[in-house]
Amino acid sequence: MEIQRVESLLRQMQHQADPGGAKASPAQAFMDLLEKTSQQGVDATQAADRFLATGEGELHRVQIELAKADIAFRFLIEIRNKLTDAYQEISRLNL
Amino acid sequence: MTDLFRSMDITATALTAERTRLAVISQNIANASSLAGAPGEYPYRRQTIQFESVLREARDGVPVGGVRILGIRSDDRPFAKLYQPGHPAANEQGYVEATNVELPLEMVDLMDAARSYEANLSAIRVLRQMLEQTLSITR
Repeated sequence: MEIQRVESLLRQMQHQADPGGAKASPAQAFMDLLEKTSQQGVDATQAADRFLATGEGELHRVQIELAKADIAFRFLIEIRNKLTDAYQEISRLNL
Repeated sequence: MTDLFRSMDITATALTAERTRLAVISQNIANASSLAGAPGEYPYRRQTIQFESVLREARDGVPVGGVRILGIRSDDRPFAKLYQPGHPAANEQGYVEATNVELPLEMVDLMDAARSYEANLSAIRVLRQMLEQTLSITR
């Protein structure tokens, strides 16, 4: 009984995490996040380059873009740390 | 991601607005001692800037938008009159019309603009700190 309840809860959570039904693997999800974070970094660098080269745009906008990229990158690092921790945990399992 | 940084985007509009306000104040201060060019002509008129809030409600009811510049208008207060009989723009009584900029007022506005700018920077700093502390949940 308990197990069934847990299973249905799990299914629910899976559905919420992935409503489209396209079963994204954790690896794929990580790659997507990597892609987005990288894009944010590229955007910020481009904004900074444009500002430096042409003086177009505003200093605080550039700085804010850099701050956003910084936060996104740190988030990515946290996820990576968690993933490597999980991998090491599993690799240490005694079989 | 845009949701996460929403308050940063709002603050960005405020920083832009305050920076423009500083430009207007600079213009006023730069012209504080300008006189009329010829008799009957008007000297520089003090400019004032007006802000307007941009409040669109997102679906979750949290405000998005920020502030924008409604317009820059002339201050209609009367010009000052300086007694300078030798001046080419002096009238028959020897008075020259001078700008209606008052430096003490501009200085107060200047401080106000600087403090507002700082306050908005603090909002960004706090959001950054909050997000960084949130990241430490998994540590």
